[in-house]
Amino acid sequence: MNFIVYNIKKGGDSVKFFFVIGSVTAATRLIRELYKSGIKKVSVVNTPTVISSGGCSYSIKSDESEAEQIYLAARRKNIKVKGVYREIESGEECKYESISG
Amino acid sequence: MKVYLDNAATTNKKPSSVYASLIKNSVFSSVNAGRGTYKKSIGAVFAMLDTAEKIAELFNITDSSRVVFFQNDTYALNTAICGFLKPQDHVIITNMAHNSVLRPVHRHGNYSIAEADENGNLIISSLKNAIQDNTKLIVCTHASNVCGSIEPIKKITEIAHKKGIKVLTDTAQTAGILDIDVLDSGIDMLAFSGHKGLMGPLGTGGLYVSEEIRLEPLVVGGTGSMSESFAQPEIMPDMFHSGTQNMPAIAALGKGVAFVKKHRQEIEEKEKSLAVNFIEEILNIDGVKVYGNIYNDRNSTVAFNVKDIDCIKVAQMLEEEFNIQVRAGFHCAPLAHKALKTEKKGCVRASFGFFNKKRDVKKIISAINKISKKG
Repeated sequence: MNFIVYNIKKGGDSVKFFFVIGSVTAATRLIRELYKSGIKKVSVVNTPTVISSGGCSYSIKSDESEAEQIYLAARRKNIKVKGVYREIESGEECKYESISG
Repeated sequence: MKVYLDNAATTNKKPSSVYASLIKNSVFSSVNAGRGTYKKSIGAVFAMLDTAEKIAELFNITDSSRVVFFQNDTYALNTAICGFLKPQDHVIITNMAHNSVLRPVHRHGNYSIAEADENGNLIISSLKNAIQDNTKLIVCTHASNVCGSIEPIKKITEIAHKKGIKVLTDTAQTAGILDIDVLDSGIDMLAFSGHKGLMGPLGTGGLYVSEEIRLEPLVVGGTGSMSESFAQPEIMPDMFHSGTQNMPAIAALGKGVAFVKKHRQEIEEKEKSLAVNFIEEILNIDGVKVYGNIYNDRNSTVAFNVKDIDCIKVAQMLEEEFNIQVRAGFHCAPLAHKALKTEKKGCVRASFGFFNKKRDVKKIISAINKISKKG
């Protein structure tokens, strides 16, 4: 497992998933598919720079509970997922753990 | 009250949903699609995806990401022709082609022209004879912008595909009016105008590219993705959408397409009925010649001349004395005029649209009658 530590001041714990898509059009296409399936608690965000490949990149941000549905929807729509990361904010730290890709 | 009969240039009236969408997105949601990730920016991308999906449904395209937007059909055709052909490739066009086909092909250099008869109908043997070993593309003009004659797309794709040749169809005059199915007809690339039969605003058009084809974009630049790469990303449709897209216009085009999808058959029947009615009446006028097919294999565009009166003068009189708007001259289609044998004098073109009425036919017939008596 890879850990990248990014220090920010935050309070509390929360776990979010980032599905790195790359293209905003593809990310938006995926999110439309998710909305149609009734999955609403997802959003298109800029990929955090620590996990992007150095340029503009877009991700689907979601709770852990939606992760499997997102992966299946991406496969259905033939949308390439470049990487999946778990963001763990814990107190002052924010880590991105690579799950795949 | 003005009578607008230049729908082949652009449809003058649009459904009210198109205007509402333009105002909404220009005034209240003027954002750059997909450059930020705030709600409105992603919402703008949604609007563009919506339009792409509607166009995909209209033309029976399975993957809407293969639909690319441009500012007009000319840009779409240039991208398809220049982005597909290699320097050594041979291309065939028909002589009903508009300059938006002829000029990029002429610049490419290695091309042949398949002939049409004097009604503007493609001579199939001429097309077959034009094929060479290195022919890679045939560009067909679904309907002539001069006389409305319709080319047999399915026949053309059958001939082309037997020889491994791809087919690009210019649907500027037919998208939204005739039934076009890319799967059934075997079209490999389809260029469309957004502001004519699809009832979208000016400044819209696009191209469908089948999955087997890889086109080189004419314009490269920022696509809002993979910005670390110096090379243009190879993602569809992003690779053709460099720079800021005209999102309000594209979103409004989606409303036009929705209208057209709902009323397509009605549109086709009404436009053809107006054109045929006009032709039947105008042929009763002394000294009038109509070019192209009379009843079949035609759309609602009618080309004609009145005695030896200069066509420009006829159009001028129609406008100044009778408030009727048509187009006269050569219609950016020099080869078509050669086929129709009007290359020296041009002709008047009246093109009916869905929002024209029977009384518009009566009005122009009455006007031409008076003009003919003067001449």
